[in-house]
Amino acid sequence: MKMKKHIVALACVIVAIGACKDSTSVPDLNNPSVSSVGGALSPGNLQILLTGVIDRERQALDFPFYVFPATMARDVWRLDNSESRFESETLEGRPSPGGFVGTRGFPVYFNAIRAAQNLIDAVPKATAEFTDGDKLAITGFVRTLKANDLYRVLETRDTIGLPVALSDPNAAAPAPILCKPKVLAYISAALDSAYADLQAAKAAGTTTFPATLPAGWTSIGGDYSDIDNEIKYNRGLKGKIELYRGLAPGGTAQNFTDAKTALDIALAGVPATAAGLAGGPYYQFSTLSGEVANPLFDSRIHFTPSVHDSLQAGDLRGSKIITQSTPASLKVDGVTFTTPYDPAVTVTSNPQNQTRPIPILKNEELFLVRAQAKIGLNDYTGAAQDMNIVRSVSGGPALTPYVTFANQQQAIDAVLYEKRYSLLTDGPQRLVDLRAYNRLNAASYPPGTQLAPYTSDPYNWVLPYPQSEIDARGGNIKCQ
Amino acid sequence: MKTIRSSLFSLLALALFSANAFAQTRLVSGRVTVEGSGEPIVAASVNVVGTTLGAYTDDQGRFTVSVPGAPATLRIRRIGYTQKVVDVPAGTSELNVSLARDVLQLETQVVTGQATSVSSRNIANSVAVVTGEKLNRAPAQALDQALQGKVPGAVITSNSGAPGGGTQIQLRGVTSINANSSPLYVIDGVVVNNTAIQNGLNAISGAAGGNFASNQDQQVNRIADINPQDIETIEVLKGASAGAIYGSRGSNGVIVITTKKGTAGKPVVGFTQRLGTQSLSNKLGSRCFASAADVDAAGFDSTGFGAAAVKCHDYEQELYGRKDLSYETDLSVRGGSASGGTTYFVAGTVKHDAGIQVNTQYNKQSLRANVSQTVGSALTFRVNSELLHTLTERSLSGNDNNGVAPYTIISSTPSFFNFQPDANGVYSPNPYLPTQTNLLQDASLIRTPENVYRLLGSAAADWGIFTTQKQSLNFTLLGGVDSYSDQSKVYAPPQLFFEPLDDGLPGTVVNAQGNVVTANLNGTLIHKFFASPFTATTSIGLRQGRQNIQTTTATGRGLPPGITDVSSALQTFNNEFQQIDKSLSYFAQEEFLTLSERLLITAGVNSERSSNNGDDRKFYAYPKFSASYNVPYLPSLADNLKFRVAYGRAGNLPPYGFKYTALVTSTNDNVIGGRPSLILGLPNIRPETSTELEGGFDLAFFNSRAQLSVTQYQKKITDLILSAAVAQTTGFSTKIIQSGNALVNNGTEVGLNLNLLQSDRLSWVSNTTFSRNRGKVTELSVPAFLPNGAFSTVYGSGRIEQGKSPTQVYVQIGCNIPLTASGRCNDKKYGSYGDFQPDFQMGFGNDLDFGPVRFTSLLDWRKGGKVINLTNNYFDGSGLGADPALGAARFLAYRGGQPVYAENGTFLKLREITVSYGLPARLASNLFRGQAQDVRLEFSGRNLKTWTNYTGLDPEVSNFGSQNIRQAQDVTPFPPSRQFFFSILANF
Repeated sequence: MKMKKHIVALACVIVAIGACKDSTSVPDLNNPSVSSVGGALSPGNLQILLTGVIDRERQALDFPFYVFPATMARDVWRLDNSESRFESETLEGRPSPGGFVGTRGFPVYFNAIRAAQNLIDAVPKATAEFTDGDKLAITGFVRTLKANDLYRVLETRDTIGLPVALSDPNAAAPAPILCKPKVLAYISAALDSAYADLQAAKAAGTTTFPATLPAGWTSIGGDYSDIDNEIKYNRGLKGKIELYRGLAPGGTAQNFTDAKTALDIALAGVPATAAGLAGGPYYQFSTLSGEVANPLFDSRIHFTPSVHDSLQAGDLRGSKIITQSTPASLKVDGVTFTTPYDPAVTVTSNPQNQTRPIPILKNEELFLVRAQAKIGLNDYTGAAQDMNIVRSVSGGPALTPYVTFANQQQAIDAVLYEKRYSLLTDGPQRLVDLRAYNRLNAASYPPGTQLAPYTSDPYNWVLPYPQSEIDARGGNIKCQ
Repeated sequence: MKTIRSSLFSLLALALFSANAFAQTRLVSGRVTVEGSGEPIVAASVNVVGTTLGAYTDDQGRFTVSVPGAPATLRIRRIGYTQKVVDVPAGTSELNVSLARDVLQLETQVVTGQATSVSSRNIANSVAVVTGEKLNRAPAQALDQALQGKVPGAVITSNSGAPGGGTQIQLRGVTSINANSSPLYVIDGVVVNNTAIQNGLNAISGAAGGNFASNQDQQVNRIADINPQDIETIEVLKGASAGAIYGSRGSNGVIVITTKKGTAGKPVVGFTQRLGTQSLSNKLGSRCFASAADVDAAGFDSTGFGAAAVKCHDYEQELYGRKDLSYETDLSVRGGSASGGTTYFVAGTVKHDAGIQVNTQYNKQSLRANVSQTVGSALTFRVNSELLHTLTERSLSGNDNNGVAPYTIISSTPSFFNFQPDANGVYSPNPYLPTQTNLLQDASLIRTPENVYRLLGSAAADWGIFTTQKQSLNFTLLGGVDSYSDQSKVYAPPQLFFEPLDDGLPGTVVNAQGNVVTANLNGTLIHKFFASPFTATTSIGLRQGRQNIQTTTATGRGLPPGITDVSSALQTFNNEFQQIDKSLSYFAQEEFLTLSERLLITAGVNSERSSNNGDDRKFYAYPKFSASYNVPYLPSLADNLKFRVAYGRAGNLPPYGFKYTALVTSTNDNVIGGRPSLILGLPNIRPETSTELEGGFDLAFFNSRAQLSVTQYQKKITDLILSAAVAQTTGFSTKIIQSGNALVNNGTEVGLNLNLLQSDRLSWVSNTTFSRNRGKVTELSVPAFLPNGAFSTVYGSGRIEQGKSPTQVYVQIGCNIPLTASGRCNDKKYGSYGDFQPDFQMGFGNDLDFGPVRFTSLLDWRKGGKVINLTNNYFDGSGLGADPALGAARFLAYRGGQPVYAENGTFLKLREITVSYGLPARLASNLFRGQAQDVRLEFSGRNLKTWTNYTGLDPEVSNFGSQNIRQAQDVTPFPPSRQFFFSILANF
């Protein structure tokens, strides 16, 4: 009996102590933690963090990034039987901040900005493998990427404005919202300081970026691991920002001049050929495991009939439009949308569309942006020259070149035409231009017509802030 | 830690060294029978009050028990009968006792700890007990469905009508918003996993985009695997005051399941054969067109209207009209050696439920063996095991973005279009959808088999270390494992019309695998001390738990015809998720029963640590305290009155990974990149804490013909873990927060059991339950926010807001500016509009026995609770609903900002109805050559009728599966069905 008791006591104690010794610690089995690359910035860590920034920007280019602005700009209808909000919240009424229309193009870009900021903050901790020139190249390039991310959000939020600093998740209040002119001024200054870094990097002997860039940045529209090309990308972006600063309230002729100066650097030596116009960094896509496929590969994206009907006879850019034998049709809120026209780059009958690259900023766009800057300076002949480069190469020999324009109105009409068909599926450029030139209204698109079928059409020119951002700001999203 | 270990030692020492020698005894024998009929009662326990002495009756109802020489008192009890206390004067050696049937089940044994239980006469909590008999009256596809309407305080809702289950259980309101909300299931001491492994339907439905699984895959929580036939009882501990001993897993309530055991004596064979069918129980209907001009006017291409043989198809009947045979065969053998040294229960089930749609079904085969062997006088080994296989095929339903789900197709296609194949079996492409989807081609070609192979097993040793007349010490060691492998395949072959159109590639296949292992080891030392004035039960122990979950998904797009393996696909996508959690807890509990078993005082504490906590070495303590008192002096009509109060605390573990801020990796041109997650983790995360206080009374009156039970509770959840939306300009979308967040549930539960008629030939028992719960977010450390994942506030979403219910419906409620000429609102007003939780629930059960005929029914009434009917929005938008005028008016109101899709989900359902007839003994004997004892013929039905004003298919619906706070999103779900069964039940 007594023996038994001792055995029991011993067994209990062994079990109790044994259990204590067993570790209950379990790491995150599915992801590395942020802190795992938070130490010194080694070449390996740089590669991971830089690829993270570039890839996040690629992921941010979800299909509504293009579809919503292009729908608001009356070029595209996405006809989906199980989702009427593609039309009802863009053409019929206001987008709901609590729904999926209102949240698009917002959180992922800010996440990319945080990823970029983390990398910029890590540069002082760079290991000895990096020269001073390398460090300047990293900050110069990543700041340029970050400026682009911020501009991408501004494209769809425009007059609502944006905070230019990342909000602190642990602070009581998010960073203040600045109005559009201030945001553009901030992006412009950020690009200038990045430009200075890249130039200093070159002066310090770094001519090649100290990490591998993906194919979209190296082998489609030029090699952007060359610091000279990074400078061109930076200046191209700067030119675009200065153009829209010039067109925004408070804009001055100096903005257009600055745009022209920056674009002259970006376009220096670019030949007037198809390859020259296609130059620029790209997002490349792949269907390999773990990769991202082209987000516009979607049989429900259709062009509005106007895209087909407004094309000038003989314009080779008409090849971007496919006419289907059976028109697509969908009734939304009592309006039937019917169109036989599809973008050649979105149809799922062509599997190559899955891996088709999307330009980030191509020279074709920059020539037209420079034309816009020249229009702003009333240099119609110069604008016509820039437009003609695009018109003859992309539009083809059947199109009559421009000589000059009688007035700004005519010049703007011309540049809007060229931009529409040159950048037909590249992004929200059409919306940005219609908005900047005040063309998105009932005068341009009379209610009750095919492009403005709803009498309640609010002519949306922006997407709202997501509800969570509005909530976090106590409902106050007025810009300063 | 040190203090816990040293207190363990002192308890141990106390237990070991206070043993007494046995006193002088005599033998008393006798027989226990049923009052009235005189039938013997088998396995009744006969105990000498104030001692450890006792015995069980044999199959003749006989017992022999050692009794001290002096006058003594015997307590005789058996589940199903009212206990009796009998004095045995000195010198008496023969005693016959008859027990009355416990029609209202006043005296079931109820668990109070890891290894202890008391009679419900003394229990201080309102613990719902559902017997196996009540559970299996009308066959249900899954265990949780069989519980519907039977547990006051539990909101049990089916997620859809698809075969195989898929149900959520919420006990006493919302107990968590972002952590686990499922109750803890414990079967014979083994913690059972209730996760749902998504099958990857999303790869073809595109409900959430991407190539992998999503929570819109319409999956089943795996508790559905458990075979209800093997269950003896289910005890539902509804909150922390009862479940504190389960530590950081007890906060959502604990469902304790006990399976059937063997009994001493010759084997009894139980056999049940059921045959049945099921039919579509509700339809939405489609608009019928009178002429081609009408079709044109509605905005649809009328080509083909003139030539259509059927101008108005009933698509729902064509798709969901199947009434194939379902069957279930159960065979069990239960017995043991005459001495009871060996007992066994072995049971097998084969079940097939045909779904109402082609290619939907639920099959189950299970084999259970519960064996117990006593070695010597003090050691008992028990091995319980269940091996089972289920095959669930639920086809495609719910939200989709590719125009492939049935109700998406039906709501987009004018009803003259013929989906039926022609004479050669060739289907027509649907011109009304961009993906050309044909409703019936989808149904006939898409396969979604999900095979689960599961082993539930436990091995336990009970060691009666010593027993004296006054005390006993027992040690129980139990190791249990629940291991399953879930193998799903989703196959959409290349010949489907939508297949090349959705992604440019013909054919899609998804292999989703889930491997889940849950294991626990419990060691419990139980000391009982019997004295005439009191009985004290002390238990101490530890529990070690571990759970591993690994899911892998491989999606292939672009398949050659007839090939279903992923490796042949043109494009493949792989995904893996792993989870491990480990926990360790110590517990101690003292139960003190005194004042002639009138007063029970229980106190206990559980202290637990877990790897999911920020500090995985830190122990969190969960105390409990309860008292119940049976009032001795009662007015004449009252038989028993018990007052009870219970207080307890339990926890809910942080979800795995919430403490980390991940670096999310992705590949770009063969280089791996990493960027911060959108979710900001909480490094010092700890369990959510639920503190519950409940009180109430149980009154038996009218000669135990009536019992009224009333319970009031308050359950406060502090350290509430929230995935709070943050300003997205932080670069995050969500931040995990905890401090300063709390919610409170207040509720009432009432049970009234009446034995309305009781005579030799006639008996009528009715059970009525009522429960209501009100939740409120009392503390919130961030501004009000929309929880992740809802569709839109224009239809109806949730919103976490201080001072409001955690389950409030937040939706558009009007317009801030005048409507436009076309009736559209361009500045909608949003606000609170009712609640997803019901106002109250009632259940009405009636058991009527008339000689050999038995009639039982169960009605389940749920009052209130909003359901977001997006399915209506599909039909309203296209104008193809059965009543286009109503749809158009509703759509106009919706566009004007009215909350028309947030509907009241009140329903009354006839859950179960059973009529059975017991064959006369002679007839049974003749039919089965004298082998059969009792043979019953039974007709039963489930969900036969629903009364509701809800305009959708079924107010019990959840597109996102089990959800903590915004359950009822109705998006083109699988429609409900009613089931009928004819059964023969026999014992040999």
